[in-house]
Amino acid sequence: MAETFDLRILTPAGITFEGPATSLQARGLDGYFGVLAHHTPLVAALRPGHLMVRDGSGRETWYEVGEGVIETAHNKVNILADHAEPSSAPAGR
Amino acid sequence: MPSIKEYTDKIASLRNTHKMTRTMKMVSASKLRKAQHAQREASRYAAALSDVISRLAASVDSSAHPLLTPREKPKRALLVVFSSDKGLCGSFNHGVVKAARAWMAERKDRYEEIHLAYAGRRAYMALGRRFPLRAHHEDVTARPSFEGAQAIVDDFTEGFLDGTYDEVHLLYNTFKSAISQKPIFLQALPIEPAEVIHEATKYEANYTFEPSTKELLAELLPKTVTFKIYFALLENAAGEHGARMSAMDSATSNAESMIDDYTLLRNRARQAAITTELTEIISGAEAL
Repeated sequence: MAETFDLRILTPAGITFEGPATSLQARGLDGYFGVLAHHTPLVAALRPGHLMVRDGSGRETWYEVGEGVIETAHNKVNILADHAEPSSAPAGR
Repeated sequence: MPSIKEYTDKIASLRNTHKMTRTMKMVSASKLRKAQHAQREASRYAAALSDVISRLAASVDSSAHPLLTPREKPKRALLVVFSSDKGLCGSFNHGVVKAARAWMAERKDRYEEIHLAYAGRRAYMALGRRFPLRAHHEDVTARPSFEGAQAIVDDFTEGFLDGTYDEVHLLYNTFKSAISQKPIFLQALPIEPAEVIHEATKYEANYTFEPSTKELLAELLPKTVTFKIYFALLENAAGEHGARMSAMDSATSNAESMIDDYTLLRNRARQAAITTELTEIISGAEAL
């Protein structure tokens, strides 16, 4: 099984996701990028777009997120977004 | 003396009022719980955001940011007044309107001009025509949302950055308890540096930033303002529902005591009618 990291997605309306994940894909300034377990410490701005979270069992969950920031360190990832709603996978995926 | 029928009608209408105020009280109670829940959720986000920002601010020279820079001689101020859209909530809005007037009177000499912006219809109705108006944001107070807060912030940030205003202040009711709300003032812009830079550990050297720390800070600082507005909207909503709950509670008990009073009067009137009728029958029978 792939290694996991602790993910938290926070919005002003509450916690959207909290738990282990094996990878995620988010939209940064220069397009989509991925995060795996033990990512190097990073603070990055997020642009409105799709956010994909793959949990421990390999299932993919998609979210529609607003502007925000992602912070990774010590195998913990925090995403702070203006809003984040579960959505269906975008076309072409 | 009113007739029995008039009393009966009065009691029926009081019962309706009683039913309505009691329902409104219960609806407000549930809305209040929701608003308080939203506040708890929001404060977690706030804690995480302020953590990131204070660490960023500690890592770069942040004094240059326009939102952090106080103007030398503030001449023009904007006051954003939060109130409710609907009435029937006791002195909730009155308190804010009174506080706004007092604030403006007190600062008449300090600022050359004070403009007002509104979130919520009630304060706008009370003050809108009498003082210079910047903006009236509708439909943002009943269901506070981050997007609604963003619209308010965008407007006054623009006014601040283009030099229309040197300071932006907020006025809203804070929720103390269901029976007590207290209007408070808060400076929104410029941001007090002490607010964002508190005791924080800097980011270690091995961090990657995208974009640079300075640009990240510039991007996140406006969010603290938006969050402040969002929180004000939540406080305002909690206060509104709390105030309405206690106003409707006393309205309900007033209606109850009036129903009791009128029932007593109706019974008295009925007894009087019976007595009169009996007297008439008896005196009629005696005459025969």
